[in-house]
Amino acid sequence: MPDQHGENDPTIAAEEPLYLRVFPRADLLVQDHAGYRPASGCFRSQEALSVDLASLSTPEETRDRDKSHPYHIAAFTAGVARAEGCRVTRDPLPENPAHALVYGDHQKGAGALTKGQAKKIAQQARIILLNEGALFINDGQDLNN
Amino acid sequence: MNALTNPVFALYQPESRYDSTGSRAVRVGSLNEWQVEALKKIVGLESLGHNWNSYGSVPPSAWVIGTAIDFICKVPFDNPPMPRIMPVAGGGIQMEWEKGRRELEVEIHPDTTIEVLQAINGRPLNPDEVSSPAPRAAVERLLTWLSVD
Repeated sequence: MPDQHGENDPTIAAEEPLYLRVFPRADLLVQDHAGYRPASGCFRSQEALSVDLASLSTPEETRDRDKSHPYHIAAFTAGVARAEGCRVTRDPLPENPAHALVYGDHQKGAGALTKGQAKKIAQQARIILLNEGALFINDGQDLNN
Repeated sequence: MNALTNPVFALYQPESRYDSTGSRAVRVGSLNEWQVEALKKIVGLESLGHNWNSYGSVPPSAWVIGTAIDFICKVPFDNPPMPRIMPVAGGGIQMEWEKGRRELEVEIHPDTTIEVLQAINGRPLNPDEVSSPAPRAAVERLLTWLSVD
């Protein structure tokens, strides 16, 4: 099948961190020896994964783009994503010039990461802004009312 | 996405029902404590609103929640590891079990597809393989795999 998605942007360096908001629910975090990482489910979507480029955004700015919930912020590098076969492209928005997209599946669908890609990237990602108040929340009730 | 529509799951009558008040009701009398705790997590996802993840996702659909409940109710073991249960963007639910070196992910989508990922030492096994299990037998097979040393 023809490739449906864009090219990797070489101006995004391999070591560039990519920031992702993580819904504040205990089961979306995995605790390990070094702190917390996001669960693989954080990287699942129906389309390419929306992230912010660290060269154009701070973690706090990424978090505060949506204040409806006390989101955590996860980070992984463009190099980690590319090592799993993903493409990272700039996709600046009027309200967010740091916006970028990570494409996973290049053959079908809208570019969402496969489960395997999500799993491997999640294992190499870190939670860099932690909302400690949300560590033990495990349902949606507390956060939406 | 590497998944097939699963007509068995799609046609399956869910264990959960809505009572006269419109609330979801699940018979829990024969369930283990871990299953009741897992069901609480799943039912809690019904209260998620639109854009819960800040990236525009819809909340898990009623079919997804009912199917996740069915899956948990069909686990034939008394004390498997407590699953991690989370909403995923697009209206799905992912359930994860981890035991020793083995991990199992089951992702239920609102389009009635189900994806399964098995991993050992963090490495996915056959990540492009599709799993379209029949309910009870598949649940037992997957959870049995998780427990193999």
